[in-house]
Amino acid sequence: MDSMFDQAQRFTEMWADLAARMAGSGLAFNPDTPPPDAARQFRAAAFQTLGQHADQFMRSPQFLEMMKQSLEAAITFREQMNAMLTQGRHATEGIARQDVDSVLVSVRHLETRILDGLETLTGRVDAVAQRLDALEAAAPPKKRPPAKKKAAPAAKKANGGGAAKRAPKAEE
Amino acid sequence: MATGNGNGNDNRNGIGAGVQDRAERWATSLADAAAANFSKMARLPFLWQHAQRVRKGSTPADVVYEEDRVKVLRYRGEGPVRYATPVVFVFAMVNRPYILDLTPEKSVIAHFVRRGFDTYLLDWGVPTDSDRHLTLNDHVNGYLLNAVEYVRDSTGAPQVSLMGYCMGGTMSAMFTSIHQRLVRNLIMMAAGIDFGGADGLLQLWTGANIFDVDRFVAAFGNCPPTFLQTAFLMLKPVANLVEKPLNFYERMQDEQFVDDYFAMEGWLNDNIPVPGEVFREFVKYLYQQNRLMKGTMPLGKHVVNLKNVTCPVLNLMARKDDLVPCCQSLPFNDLVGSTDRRTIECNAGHIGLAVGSKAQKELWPQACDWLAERTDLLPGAKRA
Repeated sequence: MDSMFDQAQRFTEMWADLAARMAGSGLAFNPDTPPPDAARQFRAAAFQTLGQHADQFMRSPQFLEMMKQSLEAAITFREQMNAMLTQGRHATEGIARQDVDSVLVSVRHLETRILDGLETLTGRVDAVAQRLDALEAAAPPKKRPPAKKKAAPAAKKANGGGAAKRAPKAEE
Repeated sequence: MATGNGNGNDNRNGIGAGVQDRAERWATSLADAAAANFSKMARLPFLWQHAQRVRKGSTPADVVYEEDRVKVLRYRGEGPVRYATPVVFVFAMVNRPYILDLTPEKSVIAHFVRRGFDTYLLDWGVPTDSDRHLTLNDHVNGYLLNAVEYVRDSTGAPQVSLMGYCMGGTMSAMFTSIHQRLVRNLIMMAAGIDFGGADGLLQLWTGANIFDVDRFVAAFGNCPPTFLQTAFLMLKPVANLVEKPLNFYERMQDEQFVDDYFAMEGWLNDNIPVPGEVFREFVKYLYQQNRLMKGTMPLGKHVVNLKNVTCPVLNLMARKDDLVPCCQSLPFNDLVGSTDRRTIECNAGHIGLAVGSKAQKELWPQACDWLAERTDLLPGAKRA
C-alpha cells in the first residue's frame, strides 16, 4: 500500500498534468479560431488528461481494494437477502428459489447420467457394428443359390393366378 | 510607431481593421453557438421519436432453427448464393447479436450476404434463471454443435466457416479445436485467448484475490446485466460518462448522427444476463487461470488444445480495444496448428471493429476477400 505522501503526490501530479496540458492547448491558440472551437480544444485536452489518470487510478491498489470490498459487500447483501427470502417462503410453506435450484441440479445430474449411459451404449453398438463388418468382410463369398424355375404362364392361369388370389375355403 | 512602408496611418488602420474583423467573427460565432444551443434545447423533447425509430437489425432474415432459447437466423440476400460453404456468425453471450447488422450502412453481415455467402447467425437468446447451470460445454458442444449440424444438413455442405466475435470468438476457437472436421475456415474477431497479462482492466478486476466468482455465482445465479454494463462503462469513465453525452449534445442537429447514436446506445444498453456457470467458467478458467493458453481448458469430457485447429485462420483485432486488447488475441495464431493464418489490425475500438466507418470501408471487404479465396464456388457461380 502506498503511503499518504505517495497518494498526495499522485493527486498533485494529476492536477499539474491537467494544468500543463490546458496551458499547452492555450499556447497553441490561434486568434483566428472561433471561441467555441478553442473551448473544445481546451476541453479535449482536459478530458484526455483526466481519462489517462482515471485509468491509472483504476489500476491502483487503493481502487482494487475498494472494488474488492464493494463486491464482497454486494455478495454478502445478496446472500442475506436470499437467506431471508428462503426463510420467509418456507415459513409460509412456499417454494423458494433454493428449492427450484436443487431440483434443477438433480435434473441436471440425472441428464448427465443418462447421457453418459447413452454414450457408453452408442460406443458398444459401434464396436459391435465394426466387428460385424469385419466378420462380413472376412467371410468367404456365399454361393449364389440356383434360380427357381418359373411356372409356365398358362399353368399359372389355370391355378387361379396364385395363392393371393385364391378364394377363401369357407366360400368354396 | 509605424513600420514597413512608412505609411503609419494605413498600417494602424490595417491592424485596427484586422482586430475589428476578428472581433466581429468571434461575436458572430458566439451568437451562432448561442442560437444553436437554443435550437438544441428545443429539439430535446423530439429525441424520443428518434429513439423509437431504432430498428434491431437491417438485413432480412428468417429463423431457421430453434432449440430452447437459442435461434439460428438465415439472412436473405438479393442475389443468389455463390459459395458452397455457409458462414455461421457466433456472437458473445453478454449482448444481443444485432450489432453485427445494426444499420444498412453499418452491417458486417450485409458485406457477406452481398458477396454471395450463405450467411447464418447464432443468437444465444436471453438466458433465464433456469439456464444458470448450463455450462460452456452445453453451449459449445451442445447448442453450437447442433446449430452447425443443422446448417450442414440443410445446405448439404460438409463444413461451415465460423466467425466468432469477442466471447463468441473464444467459443468458436474451442469448438474448432474439438470439431475441426466441421469447420472450413475460422475468423476470430476481437476474441480473447491469452488472459495472462495485466494490460486490460478487466484482467485486473477479475483477479482471484479480488473477485470471488464462486461466491458471486452462488449468490446471484446468472450474472446480472447491470453488473456487466457497469464494468464496461467503468473501463473508460471519462469517455463514456462525460465525453459521449457532450458529443451527442453538440451534434444533436445532425439527423444521421442522432439515428446512429440511438441505434448504438440502444444496443449498448440492451444487455442480457450471462448463465451463471458460463460466467464462472469464463472468469475462473480463462481470466484467473488462463487455461486456454496452457492447454488445460476443460470442456465437458474434452480438454481444449488449440493445436487441433488446422483450418485457415483470420484473426481480426482492434488497436483501441479496451475490452479485449490486441495482446489477448495475438497469441492465438501461434497456438493453432494451421499453416494458413493471417492477422489484420484495425484502428478502431471493440465495437468500432464491427460498426466503425473505417472497418466498414476497409476491414470487411478484406475479410470477405480472404474468405472467398478459401471457399469453393457453387457450380455455375462466378466470384463477386
